[in-house]
Amino acid sequence: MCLAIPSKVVEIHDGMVIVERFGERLEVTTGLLVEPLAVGDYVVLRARAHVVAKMEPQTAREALTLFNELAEKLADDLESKSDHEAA
Amino acid sequence: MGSARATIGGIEGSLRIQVEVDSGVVSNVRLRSQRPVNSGTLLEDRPVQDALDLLPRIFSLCGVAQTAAGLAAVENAKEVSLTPPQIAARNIMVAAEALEQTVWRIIVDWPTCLDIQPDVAGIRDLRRLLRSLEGCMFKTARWNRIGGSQLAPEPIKLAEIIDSVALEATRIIFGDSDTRLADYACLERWLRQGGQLGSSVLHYVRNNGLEEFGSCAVEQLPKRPDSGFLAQQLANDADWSFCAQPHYHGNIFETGPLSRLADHPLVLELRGRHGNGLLTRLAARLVDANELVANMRSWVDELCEDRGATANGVDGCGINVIDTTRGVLVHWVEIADDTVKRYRILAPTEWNFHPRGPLTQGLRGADAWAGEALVKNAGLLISALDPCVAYELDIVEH
Repeated sequence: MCLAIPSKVVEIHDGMVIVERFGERLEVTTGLLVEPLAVGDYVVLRARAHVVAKMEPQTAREALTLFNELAEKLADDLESKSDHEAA
Repeated sequence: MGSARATIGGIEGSLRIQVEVDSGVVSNVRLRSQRPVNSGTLLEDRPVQDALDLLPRIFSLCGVAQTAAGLAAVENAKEVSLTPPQIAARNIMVAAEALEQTVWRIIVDWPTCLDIQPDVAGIRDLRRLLRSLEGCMFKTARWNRIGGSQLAPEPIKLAEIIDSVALEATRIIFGDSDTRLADYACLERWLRQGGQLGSSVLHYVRNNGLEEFGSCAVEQLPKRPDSGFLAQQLANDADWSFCAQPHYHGNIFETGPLSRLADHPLVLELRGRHGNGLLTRLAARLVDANELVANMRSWVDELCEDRGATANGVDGCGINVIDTTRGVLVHWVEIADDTVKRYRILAPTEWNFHPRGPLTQGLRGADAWAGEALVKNAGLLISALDPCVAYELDIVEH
C-alpha cells in the first residue's frame, strides 16, 4: 500500500539522483528505469529509496491534487480526534 | 479546536519500530504505524467507475492488486458475476505484479539488510515481460471495467511470455532456469551451489544460527477468512481503528506466504524443523516465486474470448478478500446512486505489523547479539514479513 506520491528530480550528478517532494529531499536509485531521467521529471518511489516509474507531468499534477486532499482529510481526522480527547 | 496537522510525509507514512535490549535479550518491542489507513476516503463521493480508475494512481507498488480487489468489491455490491475467463485474466494480472514484488524483495531488499550490493537493474527484463501480459489478454486499454473488459487472448503469445517469465525469474533468483524448491533436498542442493543473492542471505541465516530467529505463536489468518465478519467490522469502522489494528474474531493473526503455502512440502519440512522463524519465512518467499509462475500457466488455460458482464445501477455494500504477495487484502465499499459513499481498505501490513503481531512477538525474548547484528537480523525479519512502506528501526540498550 505504498502511495504513488510524485517526486520531482531536482539534481543529477555523478550517477546520483536527488528528488524532492513537499520540501523533503531524497537520494534515490534509478537502476530499474530503462529511460534516462532529466531534472524536472516526475517519478514514483518505492520505500523512499528507489525510482520505480517515471510519471507524466499532467498525471503528477493530478496525483498531487489527490494527495493534498488526503493530507487535508488526515488533518481533519486528527483535529476531530484531538477535539474528542479534549472534550 | 486541536492544533493537529498532517504533513505530506505523514500521508505516505512509515513504521517506527523500537527494540529495547536488556542483558543481551530483546526485552520489549514497540511498533508504531503511521500509515494512512484512511486512504479509502479518496474514493468517496465519486462515481463508482471514476473511483476505480483512481486506484492504480494512488498505489504505486500494488496498483493492480488494489484495482482487482476494488473491482471485485464493487461487483459484489452490484451482484455482478464474473465469468471464469475474466477471473483468470485478473488473476494473471495480480500474479504478475506479485512476482515482480517478490523478486524485488529477494534481490534488492534482502541483500540490503546485510549490506550486500543489491541488483536493482536485474529485474528490468522480467518487469518488461510481466507488463506485456496485459496487452495479450485484453482487447481494450482498460482492464478495470466493472463486470470485466473485453477479452481477446493470444494463447500462444501468452504461453511464450510466461515461459520467458519463468526462465528469467528463476535465473534471477536461483542462478539457472531449472531450480524449483520442491522440497528440502532441493533447497539443500541450491544452497550448496551458492553464488546468488538469495542463497547468500540464507547462508547468513544458517551460519549464524538464525533459523528460528523471530519464531512466534501468532497463527496464520485462514486463506479464505470469513468475509461476513470482515464486512461487519469494516462497515462499522467509523474511526478506522479496525483498519489500523485488525483482529479476526478477537485474535491477532499473520498473513502472507506461510499461510498460502502451508501445505507445500518444503514449507512443511522447515516449519517442523524451525517453526515459523527466519529460515522458514525466507524460504516461503522463494517458493512463492515458483508458485506464482505455475499459477499463471494454469490460468492461461482458462482464458478465452469474453465480452464481460453488463454493469448495472444496483446499489449496496460489497466486499472482496484477495490474496496478494504480502497477504490478504480486503476492500469494502458502500454504493448509493452509483456513487461511492464509504470505502475501506484493510492491507496485509496492518496484520503483520500489528503492535501485538508476528514482528513484535517474534522479536521479544530474542537473543540481541551485538547491536549491529540485531539491526541486520531484525531487518531481515521485517523484510520477510514484507511491509509495504519504509520503516525506522531503533535499538535501545538498557
